[in-house]
Amino acid sequence: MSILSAFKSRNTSFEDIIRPHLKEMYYQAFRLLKHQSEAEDLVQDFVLRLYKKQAKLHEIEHLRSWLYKGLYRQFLNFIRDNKNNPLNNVDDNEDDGVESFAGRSLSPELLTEQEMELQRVQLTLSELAPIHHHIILMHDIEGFTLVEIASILDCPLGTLKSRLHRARENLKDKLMMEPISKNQCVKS
Amino acid sequence: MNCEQTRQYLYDYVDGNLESIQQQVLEQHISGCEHCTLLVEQQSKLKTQLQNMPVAEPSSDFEQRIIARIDSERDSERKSESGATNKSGKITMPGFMTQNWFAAAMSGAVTAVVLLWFISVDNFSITPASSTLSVVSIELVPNQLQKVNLAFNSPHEIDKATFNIILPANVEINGHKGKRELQWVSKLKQGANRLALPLVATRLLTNANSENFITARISHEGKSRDFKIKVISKAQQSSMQRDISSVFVMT
Repeated sequence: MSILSAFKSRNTSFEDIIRPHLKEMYYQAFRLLKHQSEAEDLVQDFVLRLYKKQAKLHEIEHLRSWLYKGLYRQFLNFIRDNKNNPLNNVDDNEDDGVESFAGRSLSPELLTEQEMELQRVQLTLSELAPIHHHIILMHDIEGFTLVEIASILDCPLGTLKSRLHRARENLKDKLMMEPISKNQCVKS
Repeated sequence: MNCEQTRQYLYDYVDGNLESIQQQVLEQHISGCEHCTLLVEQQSKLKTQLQNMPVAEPSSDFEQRIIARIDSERDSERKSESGATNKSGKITMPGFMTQNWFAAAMSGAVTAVVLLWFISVDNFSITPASSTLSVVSIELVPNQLQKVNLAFNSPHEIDKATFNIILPANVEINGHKGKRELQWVSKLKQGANRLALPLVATRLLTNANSENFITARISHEGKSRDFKIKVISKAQQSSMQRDISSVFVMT
């Protein structure tokens, strides 16, 4: 059901429309912020802002990507507003440690090889330039199409394609993923 | 097709974005090229890993809290429409209770002192001659990182508020060694705003009766208000339990 038809239904409230998207928005926010309570606050702030502008929802056809676009802008504002705060540069391991890993052990020997590999990918991804990091999040994890991402980022499709390509190449390079086949070994 | 061309179409192939004929040609090359086969396998594996990256689950009451906030907003709108707006600038506790960090701080007061101080920054136009409106106390143990959370409730968004934290001689903010004052400009959002101060007392107060103050000053459009935190040496209030959160409500 599109948002337009949902609103036309007399019994559909703002909560009815937004509730099915809350958890996904939290996951999206968490992947951007890597912090549980900040992700929850980001979603809450965004939803409250949305509530005040709910009349606009009448015009929305593709709600998922539209919501992500709004959430992403909220995230960018959050980053902008907080980067001037000197207290944010202070190590805050106490909270981050508890909330980011949510009960997972940090002890390397307790992680499986698969988990360690996932952690390495996660860490390397976060080391990319923010725009490359975010494009990979949107495309490979959130599953948005290139057209949707171009709209989210307000950038031309061609620019986005080349950015995505560069982002993936950078990630691959940082992970040192280029395979060495037997043939190449023989040649060398 | 050769290896170079395969690389060019690698991501489109893994994403399933190639036309059928392009896909066939590429697969024909891959089937006879060990290097490109590995490349495709690695890229497919990476894509799967990205999709499986762990995320922390939200709090169990996450959805309920947001829906409750929407209800609260709706109630405020109704009151506003009926002319029953609360214009006193008083803090409404339910609004605070729904802020996630509040619950986290209340349950997570483990080793650090967590002091929650609710302050209204309403009525910037009313700046009393004596701007110290309320004082709360904390007890700091020398050379131990302790966190103090201040909560400022703003009835509306303030785009550019200037924050000053002025410290006494024996207290530092972790990571800002030797600085007696920190200043920055930030936005106060509508509702509760948290300011987390990671404090370290550099030495015990030598005089048992001496008192020092940390001042949190918020300024906006030429007006300012100070909020003071009294720092007390441990010997003075030995009965104060360090892991108990204190909540002060100021109206």
